[in-house]
Amino acid sequence: MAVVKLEGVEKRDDGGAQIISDVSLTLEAGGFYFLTGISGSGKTTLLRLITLTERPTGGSLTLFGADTAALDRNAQAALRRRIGVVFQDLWLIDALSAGDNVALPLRIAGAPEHQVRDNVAELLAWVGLSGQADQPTATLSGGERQRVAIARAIVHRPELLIADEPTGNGGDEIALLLVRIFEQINRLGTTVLIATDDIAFACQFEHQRFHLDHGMLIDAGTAAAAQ
Amino acid sequence: MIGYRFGAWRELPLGTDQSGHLLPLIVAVLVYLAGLGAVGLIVLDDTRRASEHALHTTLTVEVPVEASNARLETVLALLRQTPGIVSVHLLEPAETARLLEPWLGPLPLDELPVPRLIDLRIDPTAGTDLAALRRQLASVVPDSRLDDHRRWPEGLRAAVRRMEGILAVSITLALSLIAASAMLAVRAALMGDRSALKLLHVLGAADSDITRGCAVRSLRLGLFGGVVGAVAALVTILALSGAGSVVELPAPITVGGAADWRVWGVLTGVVPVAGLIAMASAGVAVRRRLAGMS
Repeated sequence: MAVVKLEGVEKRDDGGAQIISDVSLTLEAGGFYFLTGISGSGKTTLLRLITLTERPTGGSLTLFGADTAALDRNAQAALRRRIGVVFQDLWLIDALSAGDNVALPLRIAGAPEHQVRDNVAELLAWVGLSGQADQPTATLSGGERQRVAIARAIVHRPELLIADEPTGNGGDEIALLLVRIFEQINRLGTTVLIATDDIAFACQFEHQRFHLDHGMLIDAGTAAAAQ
Repeated sequence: MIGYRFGAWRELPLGTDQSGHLLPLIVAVLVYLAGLGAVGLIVLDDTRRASEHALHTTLTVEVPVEASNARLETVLALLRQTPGIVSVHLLEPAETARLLEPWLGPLPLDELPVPRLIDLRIDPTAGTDLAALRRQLASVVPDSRLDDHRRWPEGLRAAVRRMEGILAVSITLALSLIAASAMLAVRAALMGDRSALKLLHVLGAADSDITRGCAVRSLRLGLFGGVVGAVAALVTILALSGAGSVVELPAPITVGGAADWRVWGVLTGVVPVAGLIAMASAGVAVRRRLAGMS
């Protein structure tokens, strides 16, 4: 079953400039994918379309089998709750503790507080931050903040996990560790899509790759060869 | 995936930004001003009514000083017999001198043609025919004068009406500013591409939950500021009233003091009004902003 299906998707900015051109791709349930492309190629915009934070100006986008063009705002919000996102800049709320940041998706869903506590404690332990649940995220190191962002993205057991440049905030070892973490999550049945501008890094793995160039999807093998 | 539960808005971490921190202070100041303005309206209205009551029940007859005692007695008898006149009091020269002293200083009344004054109390419901009384007085003492003070209430009424208008506009402005402040606070919270509220939207919070959460937060801030402002207004009124009333009137009505239930009514009523205005305005602002997000 396709979790995400884009057919001829286009996106123009407010000035009419083409950012995404005629992109068609399918992410199958349980799959693990890389989305590669240099900075400015349109990766983040494509991820925003998939996470329903921007609307395509052309083509069709189907999420979890639902045509997103036909959905009202409540239905769109319901679909967003089925997605976990690790943002490029992490987008943590510094006024909140690590635990409260991780708890956000659960609280948005209105989960009972005991379930929030249990899931947050479990996830923070999994990413190695069990003793720092009450720490304000502003006081955490870059690596710790990144782990909080990952815990927040998966705490509600999303069906689709999207990470925008998660490997860009550390060295190769940390990037490798992150991909291993995402692979563990993927083994639990979550579809994973990682966007990165490090094409060589993505090529180390056996996972399917999509490559964006000036907003257009091109053959990933060609892109790798060009590297 | 966690299933969605109605009522999630209660758990949303709204208020993590600094934008709403000034709202209670602004609401407190505006509620203070609106509360004092509303109490001022009550005071003005009561003052006008009390003054009109006093003026409508009082008449003064001026009899030229050269009129003989016999004619003066005839006038007094005429007044006592007139229906609707409750009391007739001929002011002694010393009383008249005391009345005029604030304006003219100590007076040698013997040397000045100051008319004799007769103070009348009338029953305003009796419908005394003042025109007929004037004619009767003129037939006894041609230059006598009946002053019914009517031009004073009319002038007072117009002045009070203008002041009431100014106060009503001030109160409306204060309440409008509460709405504007709440909207600005929400807009500030939603400003920027990385605001907490936008994150909630992106993570899948329903518009209704975000709106309700923001509105309830604004309600709380508005109520808190409102209570502070109302208490400050009450303290001001107590300080002004001193002996128990803001305005002491010659009539048996004293208004605006802490013992006046209307003061309590205004000051307790303005608090929920401020909270509801803040809540409704925040709700409108959030809905508008969310409508602009995909």
